[in-house]
Amino acid sequence: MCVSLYDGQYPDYLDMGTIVNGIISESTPTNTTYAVRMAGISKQYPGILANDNVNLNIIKGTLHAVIGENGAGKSTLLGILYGSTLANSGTITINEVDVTHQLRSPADAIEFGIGMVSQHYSLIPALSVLENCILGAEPTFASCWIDRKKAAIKINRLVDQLGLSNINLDALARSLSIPLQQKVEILKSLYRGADILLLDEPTAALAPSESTALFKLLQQLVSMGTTVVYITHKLKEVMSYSESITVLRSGKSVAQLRTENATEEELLSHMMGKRIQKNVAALNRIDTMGIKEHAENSEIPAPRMLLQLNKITALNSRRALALRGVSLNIHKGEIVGVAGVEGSGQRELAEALVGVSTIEEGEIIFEQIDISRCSIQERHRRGIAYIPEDRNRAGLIPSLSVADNYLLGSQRDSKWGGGMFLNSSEIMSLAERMISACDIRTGHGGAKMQAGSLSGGNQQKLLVARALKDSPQLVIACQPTRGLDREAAKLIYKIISEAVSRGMSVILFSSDIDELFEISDRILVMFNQRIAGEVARDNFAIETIGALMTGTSIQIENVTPA
Amino acid sequence: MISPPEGNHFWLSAIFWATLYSATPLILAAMGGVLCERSGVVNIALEGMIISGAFIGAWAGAVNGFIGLSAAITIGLLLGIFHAFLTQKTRMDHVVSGLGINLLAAGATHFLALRVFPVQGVKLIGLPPALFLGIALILPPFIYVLLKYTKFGLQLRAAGENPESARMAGISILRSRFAAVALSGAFAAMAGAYLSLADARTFTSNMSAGKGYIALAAVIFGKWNPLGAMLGALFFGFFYALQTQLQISAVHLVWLGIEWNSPAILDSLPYLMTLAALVSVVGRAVPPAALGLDLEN
Repeated sequence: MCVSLYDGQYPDYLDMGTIVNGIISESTPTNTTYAVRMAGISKQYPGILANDNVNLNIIKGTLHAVIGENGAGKSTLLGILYGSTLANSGTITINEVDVTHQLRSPADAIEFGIGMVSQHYSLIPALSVLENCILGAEPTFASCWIDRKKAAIKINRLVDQLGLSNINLDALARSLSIPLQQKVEILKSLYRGADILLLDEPTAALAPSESTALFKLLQQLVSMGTTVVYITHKLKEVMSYSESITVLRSGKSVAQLRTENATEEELLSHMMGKRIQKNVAALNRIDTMGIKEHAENSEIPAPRMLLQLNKITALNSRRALALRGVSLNIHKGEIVGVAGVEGSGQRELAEALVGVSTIEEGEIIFEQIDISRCSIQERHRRGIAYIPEDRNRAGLIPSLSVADNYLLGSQRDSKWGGGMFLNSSEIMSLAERMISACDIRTGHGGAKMQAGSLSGGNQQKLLVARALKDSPQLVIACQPTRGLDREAAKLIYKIISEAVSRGMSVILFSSDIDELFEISDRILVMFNQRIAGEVARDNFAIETIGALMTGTSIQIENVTPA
Repeated sequence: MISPPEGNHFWLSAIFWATLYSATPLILAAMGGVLCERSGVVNIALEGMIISGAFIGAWAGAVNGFIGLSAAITIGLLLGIFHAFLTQKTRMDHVVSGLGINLLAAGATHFLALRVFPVQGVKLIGLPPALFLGIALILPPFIYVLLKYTKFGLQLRAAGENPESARMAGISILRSRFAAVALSGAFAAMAGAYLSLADARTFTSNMSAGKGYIALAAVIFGKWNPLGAMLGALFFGFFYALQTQLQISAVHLVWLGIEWNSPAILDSLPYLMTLAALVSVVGRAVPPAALGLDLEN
């Protein structure tokens, strides 16, 4: 693997006051070739300057990380490099050739050897692996018939080179697991002759072991001469695997450094900028005051029962048994985490609680009343709020404004008009107050901005704020920080823990074990559509939870069997 | 239309042939529907394309049947391109555009027919129905192969399943969709030419009588697969044939005081069966994922 050094051309971010250790003193190797050089890239979206004079330099044959908080402009930058977004200004050089005016579409980018694995995978579910790979670059005979044999040979050669196995070229893309889909995406790019591979948040949907495997694959690609650029906000991935790093903050490139010279703290400070002093203090305060103090509170004897589930069974949309007799108790003012391998019944449990799905048997006692037959609206009125897992599909209506989204669910409340008309000025001013309280960055449009134009982290804050708007007794929170960076996640915890300190309870469904450990009072683990066990805060250990999640039937200590 | 074979099986045989010939325009139009919808464009304009093809076919077909057929195909291509332009370039809703074309075609053909054809109606030499039947039987496997094994077909399916991904892969969505919708117009107009040039040998207003919609139902019934759509068209064609045969026969079915084989009830049989078939199949049929959707920007 070629270990190259930067050649010392770091003109622009220096005047921003971020002097990076080691860069300036770097020696200047003579024959460094850059796979990508983007200079002075700016992209203006209505109301938001997504990229502001950004520079990105990537040496050929290296593994380069682009990091930054949510909404820092990382995806926009890679989108510009892939031609799917057009920049307002700036120059792009690929393999030392200026292509600023030639790079106008993904087709052009493919021509220049750039491949993209986007955050929401772009495989077409109804097409086979082979068809997905060759799409747009079909080998043909008589320039009309697809030459499947030739395509299969070429793909299989790539599969062998990468040491991948068990990829069935005739399988439909929809039948593949997520890690496998990602591998096919990479194959697809390489098939088109990509030697610069862009990956947008490649590990967002992967389990830790799958992420490790992915990075092994990427490192192998780099050793074969490919240049790999990936976006992430997981600092561990940056430190362990990348060779060089570009940090973006609020649309600007604020630092570019070699991984061996960087520390996690340093990267964090670049990502957060001036806010760090204030925020680190604030974050520490949350840790000590909000969460831990709350944990102490919950040890007060004889907590009041809020919710009681008795042997709930439910069917999923395919009429298969999705919950098999789930019983649980939630007390006032506690945060109960629910862990489990995806598909163990968490989604169905959340939906049964909220009232989205009907339950077959059992009862849901909420404040001494059986609500198992109540409508969603009725449960909401009684104080159950919901933060859905999929913010784009079940959470927000992207084309409506922030204010309208904020109102959604309480539109019948007389506070907002009650009769035929909504009191829009009241709604507006309330939404504006919420925006500043939760630090939601909407651009200049304020509460009038379309919810879909916000970055993921800000959309999530909006969802949380909406759930907490009417001071609910119980919040069902599903993956509330998925895809969010640490700071945005902390803010969400802060908003939630403030409400908890006022007596609200939370059921937290999360696939992030660290998150569950951090803020739960106890964790329920689901396995095979049942609650497999319960672990109290004092006994939190990854081994215990992991064994329960996988249904390992060993004798586990410190577990209350369900 | 068909030479009645002799013997005991006359009735069955008549139904068999009548089924094939009733299904012919449905199959032709349904193939247009499959191509169009697999590319992601909703095409309720099939009806308007059929009546336009029938009219132009009869008009130009007064000279020569083949000239009539070519003229019909041409008008179909043009209407297809028009539908593609409205939906893809001006971003009009696909159903609105289709509805507009249907209303325009119904009105324009009625208006023009009153002016260009003699009062007693046109008499056409026309073309043999077997020609159209032959095309209708060959076309579905041909389109199946086209969709599955050719570059054009793969790109067309990609455009209908996920235009964004297809664009990312460097495919021109517009090219695929324009070609698919233009071809669908040509096939639907061919169905119209069959009605006027081969079946009725004249043109009457509204002679398409909802065949475009039934063809669309056949597409859904066949789950957007050309061979399935052909089966759907044959299924509906069978009820056309049955209805005709029951009207011809002198049987009287009286039950609950209603004469069930009165023309008014029998006429509605194919449409009722369409409804029944769709109700039974529609929950399970999965349309192309991007049907009716456009690229963002």
